Amino acid sequence: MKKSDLEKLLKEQSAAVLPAEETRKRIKRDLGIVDLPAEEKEAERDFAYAPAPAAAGAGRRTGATRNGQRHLPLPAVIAFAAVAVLLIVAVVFSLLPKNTPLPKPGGTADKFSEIKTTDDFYAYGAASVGTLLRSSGTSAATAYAAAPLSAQALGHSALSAQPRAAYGNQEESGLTEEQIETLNRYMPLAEELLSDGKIAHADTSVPAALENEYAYGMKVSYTELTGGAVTYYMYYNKIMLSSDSEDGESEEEYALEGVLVVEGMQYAVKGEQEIEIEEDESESEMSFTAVTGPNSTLRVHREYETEGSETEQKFIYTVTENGKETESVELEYEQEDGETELKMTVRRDGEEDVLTLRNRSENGNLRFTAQGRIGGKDVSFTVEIVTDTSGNTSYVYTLDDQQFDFDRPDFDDDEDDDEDEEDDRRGNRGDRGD
Amino acid sequence: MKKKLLEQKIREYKTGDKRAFDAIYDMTYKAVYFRILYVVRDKMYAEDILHDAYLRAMEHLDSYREDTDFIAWLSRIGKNLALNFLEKKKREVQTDFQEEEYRFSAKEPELPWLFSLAQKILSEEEYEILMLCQISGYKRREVADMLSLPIGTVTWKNNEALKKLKKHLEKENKEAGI
Repeated sequence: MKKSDLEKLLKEQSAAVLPAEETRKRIKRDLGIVDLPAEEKEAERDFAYAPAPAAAGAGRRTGATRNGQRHLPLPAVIAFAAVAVLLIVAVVFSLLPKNTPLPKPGGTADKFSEIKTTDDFYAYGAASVGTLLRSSGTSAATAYAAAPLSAQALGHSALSAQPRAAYGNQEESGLTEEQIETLNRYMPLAEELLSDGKIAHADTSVPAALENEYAYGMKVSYTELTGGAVTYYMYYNKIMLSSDSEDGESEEEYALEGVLVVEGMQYAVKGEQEIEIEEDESESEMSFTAVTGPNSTLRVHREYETEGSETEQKFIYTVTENGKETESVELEYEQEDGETELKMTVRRDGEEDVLTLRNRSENGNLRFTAQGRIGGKDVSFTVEIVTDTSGNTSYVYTLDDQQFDFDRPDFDDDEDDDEDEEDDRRGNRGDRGD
Repeated sequence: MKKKLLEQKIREYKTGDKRAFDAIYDMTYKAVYFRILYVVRDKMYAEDILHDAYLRAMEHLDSYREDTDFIAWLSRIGKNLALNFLEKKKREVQTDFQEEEYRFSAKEPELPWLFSLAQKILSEEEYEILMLCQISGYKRREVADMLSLPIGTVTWKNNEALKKLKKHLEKENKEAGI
């Protein structure tokens, strides 16, 4: 066969490959561009062009039909989803009290049980992983977070904390500094999980700089125990697994790939889910992973099992550094004496520590109690959130009359500052640039 | 230069002259379409995604930075939509014969087999250049301009793609005893 024969063969078949002219017409119609009859075209030039419809709505083909499947045009799907989510959010917010009440002792809501949909899970993943990334921002993480992550070798811990002032003797307290540091990294998350407020999520527009890459935006927010609002933004693409529509409400199961913006930094994230159903048993695993460096990740995955009417679920956070798993923390809600408590199991260096935390906040005094077994020893202590005269907050751990004071990450949430808000949305303070 | 004309038409469209769309479409759709087709490997789906890509691009034209590379920008939108679509499709339909469909399919293939074969054995860039040079009727200089590549690269990739196709066809013919 000669090269020219092949070229000829390709050319002969071009009509069967190139898109039909109908595609152009469909695009124009949906953009509101009307082809005028030839005789009117000339006259039309003398007039200002009528504005196109704001959205490609009226007259749009609702989707190609193929193999019995209908494909809604993407903008229509986005618009529909946005309206549906806005309606749901509007209803949820209308039912919420206008002012966030101070937490009641033992009145903690089980946030895991509030996770009903794929969106809820990813919102939870974004909120909890965002909080852990933020809590690491008090020390080493600041250094890596301020630089592009894509191709930079990171030789230090993805998550670490730093004591601000320890005025106790850690050896006497029975806990090592490392143990308290580990615990301190998870305190903001425990605080979030033991507070009353809900983790809210809503659709948001994708900033222009990311619009080419991501189709969806989600704003995730919750209120801290101190009353401060925490907001994260996530921009992503959906990889649809299934969708179902019932009573006018649609439910989607999807994987995602995108970025999470935490304190102005973008972290690459992905979400995955697997569901297995057998007779009256079902197992579901969902995960949300943030890339913290080359071969380093922070991942949360949910294990959810139902057997008959019984349901069990737990959330496991795994830190991987340079391809090796260095730490995992399992979180579970438990009920004891009618109160909700949070059980935290930390696995690191082949050892397992277990702590049970309860929210004991009262009259504006924000306090947790913790009991468990750390380093093979039974421990019992309290953690208090203390605000200094400048408004900065810290965690004060009290163990056997010893006190340890650790930084608590304050969220920069000056809603009045448009530039900051825009930075938070786009991740301007450290664009990955890849 | 076509790119200058394209940028001019984009400006006209942005200022409200929707008649500029036809010129924009004519100068861009083949490059965008083949980028999509390479991913989804189905003409009808590619047409649907092409439709969605233009809708999205034209409705968000303000986010395109003028005088950069409109075709690359639009192609990226098209490719992202195609990848999302494909991921969804992969989960919905899985057939054992999908990989070898171009050879063994009992039904009429969506695309002529030669194109399915090209999609299978060529890299994305080789495929796109081959399609633009051989199917779309563009001169290599025009393709180079369109894809912001040196003309030498376009010529070389086009020849490489033809060689690969030819070699594969000859091998198949030999195996089939033709």
